[in-house]
Amino acid sequence: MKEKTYVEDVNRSVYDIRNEEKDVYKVSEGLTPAIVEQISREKKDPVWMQNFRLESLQIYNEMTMPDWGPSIEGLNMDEIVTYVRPNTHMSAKWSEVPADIKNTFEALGIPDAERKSLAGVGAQYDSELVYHNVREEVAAQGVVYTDMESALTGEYADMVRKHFMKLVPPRDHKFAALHGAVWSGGSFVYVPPGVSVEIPLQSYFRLNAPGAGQFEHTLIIVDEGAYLHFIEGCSAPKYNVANLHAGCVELYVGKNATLRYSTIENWSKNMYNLNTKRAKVEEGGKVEWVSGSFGSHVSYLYPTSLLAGEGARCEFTGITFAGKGQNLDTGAKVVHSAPNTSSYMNTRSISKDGGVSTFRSSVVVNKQARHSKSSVSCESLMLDDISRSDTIPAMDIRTKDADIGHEAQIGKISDEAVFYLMSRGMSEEDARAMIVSGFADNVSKELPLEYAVEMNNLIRLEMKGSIG
Amino acid sequence: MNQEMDMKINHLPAKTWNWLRMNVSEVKQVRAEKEAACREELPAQITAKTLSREEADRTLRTVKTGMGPDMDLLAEKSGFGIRSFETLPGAETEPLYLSYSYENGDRALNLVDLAARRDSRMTVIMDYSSDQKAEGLCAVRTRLLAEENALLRLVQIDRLGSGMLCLNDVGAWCGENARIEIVHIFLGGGAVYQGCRTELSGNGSSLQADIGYLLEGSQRLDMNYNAVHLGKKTDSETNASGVLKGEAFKLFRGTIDFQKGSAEAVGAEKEDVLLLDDGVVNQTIPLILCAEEDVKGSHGASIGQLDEEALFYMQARGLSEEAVYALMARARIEAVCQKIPDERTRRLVRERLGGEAEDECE
Repeated sequence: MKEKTYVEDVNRSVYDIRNEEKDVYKVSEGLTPAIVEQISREKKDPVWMQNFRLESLQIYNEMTMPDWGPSIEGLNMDEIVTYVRPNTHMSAKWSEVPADIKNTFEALGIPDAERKSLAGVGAQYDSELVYHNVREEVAAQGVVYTDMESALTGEYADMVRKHFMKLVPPRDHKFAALHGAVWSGGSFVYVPPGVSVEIPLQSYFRLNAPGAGQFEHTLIIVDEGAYLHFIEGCSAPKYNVANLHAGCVELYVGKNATLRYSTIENWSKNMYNLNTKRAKVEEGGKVEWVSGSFGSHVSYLYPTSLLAGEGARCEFTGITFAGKGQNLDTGAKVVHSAPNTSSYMNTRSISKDGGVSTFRSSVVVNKQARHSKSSVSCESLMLDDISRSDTIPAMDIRTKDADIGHEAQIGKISDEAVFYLMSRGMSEEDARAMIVSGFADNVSKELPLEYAVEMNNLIRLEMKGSIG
Repeated sequence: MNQEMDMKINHLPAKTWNWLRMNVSEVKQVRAEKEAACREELPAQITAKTLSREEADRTLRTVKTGMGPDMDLLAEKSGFGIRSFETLPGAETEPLYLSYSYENGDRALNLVDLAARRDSRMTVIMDYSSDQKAEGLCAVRTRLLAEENALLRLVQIDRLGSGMLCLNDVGAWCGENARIEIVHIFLGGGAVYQGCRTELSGNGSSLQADIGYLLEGSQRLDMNYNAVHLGKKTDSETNASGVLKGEAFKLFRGTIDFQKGSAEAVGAEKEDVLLLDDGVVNQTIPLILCAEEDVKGSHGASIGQLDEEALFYMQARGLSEEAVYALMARARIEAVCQKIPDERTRRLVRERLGGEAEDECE
């Protein structure tokens, strides 16, 4: 009889820090025009944004829930608080951030990472940013990295208005409409032509309040010939009530520019993560998505690349690890709309302990995208017989001059590989953990060292258990 | 049946984004008025009967087809009998030929059940043909049963006219160590919908499905193949190969479904599509659904034009680019043609293709 590895739940002590809610300002549960107007007033929105929110709410009420993904029946919008503001203001100094919030970010390693390896950091706590700073030398290059609210009314107000929810319009889907109605927080980045930001910027999103939603908006414009690596992290402590994350990321990659967007998502396992990310890439530009999905109870996450200019490229590298109580539906979409465009997707998914992981993708090659190339490769690993792993890739090709390749594989950890490692002195648990880490190296090798270490830690913790 | 029916068929086993329009297909105003004329060539050791729905369902009621419940509803509403063919246990038979011919204006539905009893070998060739300009409906539902250790080979050839709507639906059940081999060749029809669902229920059962198509003009081919692995050590292999010209549309849904209990199962799916004109639309959605740890599933697809090296190689031997593509398009269909275990049927396919490569197919 074959031996089985019992796998424990992840040790989430760092992520599970819960701070008491002190003097926070929050709106009532639910979603009404009055609540949306209240959020708009609190945030001192310009008039166009007030109207935009109300129109989005109307669209939200008109649209139906998705009928194709994991169940989101446990999410009751009448019980979600859409805006929670901590009792503090955004600061550029950690010393001015309230102690309990600062300690949470310290435990998560954000200030330390900022000192060692980042060009700027934005830290959001519930619905508002509490810290935002960018290194002087980066700002001196003309790089703008600020919170969305400041951007909405400041020097770049026109640029923000021109781009805000144009790539992801509220009519895109129900939760895009929800985002349009109640968004709060997030970052705005502008990298001027020809500027290469050598070290990454990072935004970290922390949701502390039980039963709350987080709806941050990230808008990044990388102008012609520029380069940026942006890192996004997120986490929350686990509660017995549903939390909701419906953020929105819009990326504009200019002619011959490159944007790398890396995410390590580690929301708590009571989170409904219904996030939307989309990039538009102009001539000769490139977007690189690196995505690790470890947390959430339910996730719908499919970064989309619109290859709009000739020779535009995208790469998507992802890993999804679904454990007990998790149903993670992840993948990517790409639309080739110009000649000589290329896309490459390389994903891994792991299911264990009753978790469900689904890889879902689409590659659309339009008639005008002659001489385009696309390659999709997805591999899935099943760690036990109570889990589930599905692969749902779609291709829609409308020109003869295309070169489209697709490969998918599903299987279990090879008994021979485990035996080989054990014969060299490793325990079965370590052998299996090593094989899974190797399986995930498509993502870890694309991340900066510190983040690759964090991701491997997450995998190691997920794999920790006893042999039985 | 004189009532028209709007049908929703070829449901994707796991839904995806609705905007892709791949989850389900709709066919409007389907009306089956009669059964098509069929020439039966019945070999020894195969018995034939016409059964009522109730009688046929005693054996095959639980067999689900690829198109889904609307096809069963169409069958039920028609009130037509079910033509049932079965082997004797242990029999090894010559091919059973079922040749359906359609006159212009025919709107026909035929219901067929095929049962290969234990340890028997059964080959069934079903050929659908009409005049090249014929219009009408060719609807056929075929249910297959392969009992323990049986081998059932089904070949279905579409040689219909350009105005025909074809609804060809297959549902199969495979017992212990039984094997089903299916060859589908689509050369005609205006709009062709193909459903095919196979349950590999018995331990050690297997499926081999080979699909070939050549579509041109405004032809439309909409497929839904589903290999459901239920038994241990089951094996499925699905290969689709085709060519699209003009403004042809093709949607290939291919699913390998490893259900709980299908330990040590292996499923493979491969698709190879050659696109010859800019007006074509090629949609592909290959699913692997997995609820069992100890399985191996794989899918590979190659869509587009010929590999540049292959093209160069052929051109270096004196062929024009046009000639190379014509040759390679034909080679794709002929590769599937070779899977047909019957020379007479291979000849029919070759004749439809133009008949120049008679020897290459053998």
